[in-house]
Amino acid sequence: MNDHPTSRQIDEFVAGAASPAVAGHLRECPGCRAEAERLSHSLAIFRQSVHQWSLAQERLPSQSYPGQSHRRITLRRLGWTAALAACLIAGLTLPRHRDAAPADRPRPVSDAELLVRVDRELSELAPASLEPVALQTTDGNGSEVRK
Amino acid sequence: MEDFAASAMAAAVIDRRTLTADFDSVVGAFRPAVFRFALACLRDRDAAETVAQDCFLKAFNSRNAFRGDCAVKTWLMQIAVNLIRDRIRNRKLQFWRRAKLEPVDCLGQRLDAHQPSPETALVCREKLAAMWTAVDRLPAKQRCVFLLRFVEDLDVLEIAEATGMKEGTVKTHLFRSLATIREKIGAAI
Repeated sequence: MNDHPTSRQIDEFVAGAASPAVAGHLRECPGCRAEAERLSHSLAIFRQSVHQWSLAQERLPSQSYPGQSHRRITLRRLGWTAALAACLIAGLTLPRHRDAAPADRPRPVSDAELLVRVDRELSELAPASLEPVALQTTDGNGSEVRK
Repeated sequence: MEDFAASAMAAAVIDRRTLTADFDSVVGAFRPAVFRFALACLRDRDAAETVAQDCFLKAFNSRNAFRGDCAVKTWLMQIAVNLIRDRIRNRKLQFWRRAKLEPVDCLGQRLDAHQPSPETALVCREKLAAMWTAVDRLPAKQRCVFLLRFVEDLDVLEIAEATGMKEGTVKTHLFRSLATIREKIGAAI
């Protein structure tokens, strides 16, 4: 192989997938070999750093048993969901109660009005033959008045 | 480094029989590699521990189904790759949640111990930082293939078995990742 290999061919060599011709050229050509070695060196440093980092992370004191953090997140998520649901339910039901309240609540009535109403209801219930009696109503002082 | 050498030696003698007879030794031999691969892919210690735990749980449950067509490490990596893929997919769905990436600023501290001069150490550190950034920015599949090849030392065929990709696809991802890294850290190497 007379031509120098391309970057791609050097990458193939570093990855362990080079053709015999490229491998042969790299053995003979110091310039190309140096380029391949620089890349290999960078990869070796990276590899070593990942190994050391992983070992350091593994040796860190574990604050939780495996899966606890995941469970904690799930519980927290469940808590938030429950709180949101409670807020939604409260938001939907409270206005209905507020609207319904004035209609259901009995309006305060004065004694005189109440008596007039009772008289009217009684007179409506009275049979036609007793109409004159039914016409008897009471005035505001409670005394009987004949109309 | 002693731990790495010990686990590598233990891993070399693990076969199908060990898998069914002595699962503890399988965990002892390969847990560091599975955890390391998950950690490098996800950059999240808790997630990596969960992946490692789930990986060995799955492996234990299906250990009798392992036919021995590939190495035990390749088989475990295959399980890990699938678990990591699921995690990355879930993380993408949780678009509102920012992934908490572990800091890697202190990586070069122990590396520099054997360097002859501060200048060399500085170059080494810069090279490493550029490398980490470049790897971090690789697409997920390229990063996975890259880490399996250059950190876990799997060959192209083993990576194809572990990832379920074709050999040619693995090579494409591998060479693209190398080209990207070469381009990104061009000045540093």
